[in-house]
Amino acid sequence: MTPLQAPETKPSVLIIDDEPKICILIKKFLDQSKLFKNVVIAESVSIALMKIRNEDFDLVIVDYNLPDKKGTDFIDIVSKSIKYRKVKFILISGYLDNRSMMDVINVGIKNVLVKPFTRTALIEKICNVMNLKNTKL
Amino acid sequence: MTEINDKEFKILDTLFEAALVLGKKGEIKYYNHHFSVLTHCSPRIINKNRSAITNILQFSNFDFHEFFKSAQKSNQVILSEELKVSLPQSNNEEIDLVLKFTPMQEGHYLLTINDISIEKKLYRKYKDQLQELKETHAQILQADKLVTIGELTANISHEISNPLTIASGNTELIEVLLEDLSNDVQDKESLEIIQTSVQDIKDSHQRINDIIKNMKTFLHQSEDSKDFHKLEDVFNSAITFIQNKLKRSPKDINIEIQSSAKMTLINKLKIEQVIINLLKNSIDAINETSKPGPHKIQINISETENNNMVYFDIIDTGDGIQDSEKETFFTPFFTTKEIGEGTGLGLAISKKIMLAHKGDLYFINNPHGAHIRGELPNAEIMSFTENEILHGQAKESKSIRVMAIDDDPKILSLINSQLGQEGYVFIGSSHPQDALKIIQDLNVDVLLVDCIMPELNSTQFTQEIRSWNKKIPIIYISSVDNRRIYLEDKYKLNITDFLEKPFNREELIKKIRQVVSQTKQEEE
Amino acid sequence: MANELEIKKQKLDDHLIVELYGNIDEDSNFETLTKLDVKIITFDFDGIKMINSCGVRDWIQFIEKIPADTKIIYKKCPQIVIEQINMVHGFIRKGAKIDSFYAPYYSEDKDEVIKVLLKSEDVKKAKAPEIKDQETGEVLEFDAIEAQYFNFLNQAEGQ
Repeated sequence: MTPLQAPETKPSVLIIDDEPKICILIKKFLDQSKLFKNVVIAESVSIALMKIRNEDFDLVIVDYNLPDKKGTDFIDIVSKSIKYRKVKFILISGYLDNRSMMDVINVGIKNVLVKPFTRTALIEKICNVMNLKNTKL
Repeated sequence: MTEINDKEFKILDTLFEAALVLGKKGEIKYYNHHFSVLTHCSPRIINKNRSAITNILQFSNFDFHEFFKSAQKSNQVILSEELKVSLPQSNNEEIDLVLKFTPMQEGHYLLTINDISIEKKLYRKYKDQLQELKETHAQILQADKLVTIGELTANISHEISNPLTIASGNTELIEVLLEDLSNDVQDKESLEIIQTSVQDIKDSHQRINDIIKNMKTFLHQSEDSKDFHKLEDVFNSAITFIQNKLKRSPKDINIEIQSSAKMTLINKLKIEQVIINLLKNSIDAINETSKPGPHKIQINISETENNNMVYFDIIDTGDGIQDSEKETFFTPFFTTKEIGEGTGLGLAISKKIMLAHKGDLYFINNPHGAHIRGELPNAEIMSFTENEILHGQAKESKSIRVMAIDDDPKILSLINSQLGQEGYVFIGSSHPQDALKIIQDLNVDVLLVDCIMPELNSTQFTQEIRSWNKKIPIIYISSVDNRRIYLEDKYKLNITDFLEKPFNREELIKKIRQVVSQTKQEEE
Repeated sequence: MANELEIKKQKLDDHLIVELYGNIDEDSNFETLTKLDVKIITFDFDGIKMINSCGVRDWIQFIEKIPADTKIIYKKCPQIVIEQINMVHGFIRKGAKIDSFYAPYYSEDKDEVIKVLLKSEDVKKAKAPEIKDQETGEVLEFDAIEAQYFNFLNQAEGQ
């Protein structure tokens, strides 16, 4: 078991979903886990782009269906910029059909979480992606 | 001009039908004006052929004189069947007639002729048209039903996913907080009741979730069955189908295929239907153009730059399509053909079929003629997304992804159905380069590699995989004579196992399970 | 699509000239002939190869839609059109004029039927005008029944 990490080295997370209750829910999950330094929420791609300019994030959890653009469009924009090349992404979505899945593959996303997901599934996925050891399951 | 007894027979000129008065030997004694118009013969020509009516009306499969003799014998009104007649005096134009013989005085016969050409022509045209409409209408209804159910299901599950996430997520939070608080609470009874309630809520959420997942799976299964095919094979099959139409064409049409051997996962019947429809349109376009030859239909099969889509181009040497018409070509009932020759439902349905395959169908500007392009996801992407939806999203736990590389579409289809029953997510590939890309982009748990492949041999391929993914378990598949390749590579490249062809479902599943549990053990 | 009706229009001030080519039948489409509120319309039938009763029906419906005060002229009508005109009422609208038409003439020397373009005014009292072969000077024989063939001229005038 690794000791609790010092706050400065903990990763920061940006959550993008147009349903505020889901953003709050995920934030609660993440805050409880004590694995993260900062958890910020955004309701749309344009707001998310603003936030990511003002602050550094290590992980972005983004919903596929957003009001102004698709989640994959956001990922596409961000991952093309050198500044954000180290950012990791997890895509969350309700039902993904063939077409949307192809979007996801084209953008190079490996990590998809299907709604509804359990707290466990979420934390596990995040730890996988960020290479963190899970202290609390 | 006309003969004796004119005045009696002049009344015949008032008839709307062609009418003749025939003498005992079947010679023309009198003819009315309409007869002249029907046969396109001037009085001069009719007079010349009074004793040779068959020079004016040429019957096929009908002996006029025999029939006339039998009419004379019976001495009653006699009707012929519907007869096909050509007019030698008028470029052998073809008409359809019914003849009626009526005995008159002094051994004369009245021959009245009913021209049913238009009636027959329209009947044929409309009957075919109606039949085609009925069939395609039924097809559209069926397709629409599935689409509607599909959309409903997608909408419901989409709408439900958010509130369900909120409900189940918050229930989990409550559960956790209750755990933390359990030591502080005095009223253990109430606490227990609350905890039981929370558990019941959780269970209900799970049930709702299962219902939605079952709906999705059921819907997905009722879509058309798909298996692996090389596009080139489908084209060749389609071309065989239209051989007759090609032969009947007045022009010499050469069909050329240029293919880069692309594999797809499709419903072969439906995609073949699309291709046949497009080829028929090309043949018609070439038949109708006044451009000089040589005429050909060029077929190119290739893939898009990012390698995710396979496309085919069909280019003909006909007159091409106006820019303004391009979109309207896909609307139902749009047709440039005459009635009976096509209802114009073909392109609309073809586009629907391509869209249902997550592909597309559209025209491209081309000065040489009509250029239509069909796009389809490649075999790897299509098999991944289809199976991921069926098996991947349905499970809580991570599902096992198995990829197979083989250039024989039948083997891929076989493995697809065998693994599908077990709930594995199968990705089929025939192209080592495409396969490598998938392995890079997605997490693949087991790799099945055919030892003998024309483009790249398995050893080279495996070397490349090992060069950047040391850990992925690989199983070689081949006939027993190639076992030595497995043995050679086994230690050099860490090949986990060998599967002998022919194999059945049990053997395949067993090997995969072994490999998966082995990998799990190694990870722990 | 072979021989489908083709229509070419040309407008000169208030005079619309419409040239028709191909077949007038059940597949013919007259919808491209819009904006017919001109003073005169001339229909040139020279290019017509075939006409049947379905086409005639459609033609009559189409003609009836043309404003009553528009003058209609038919010219260069081939024999098949003349035959239809003679058989079906309404093909020529009341007040319409047949300017010119083809009539069959036979040359005995050449054993050939020649279609001669006649002007309606050349036909007097339903009698075919005398036509001589341009090369040989042979007097050609009118190759139809005069009373029947020129019947339409009575129609046009009489109405």
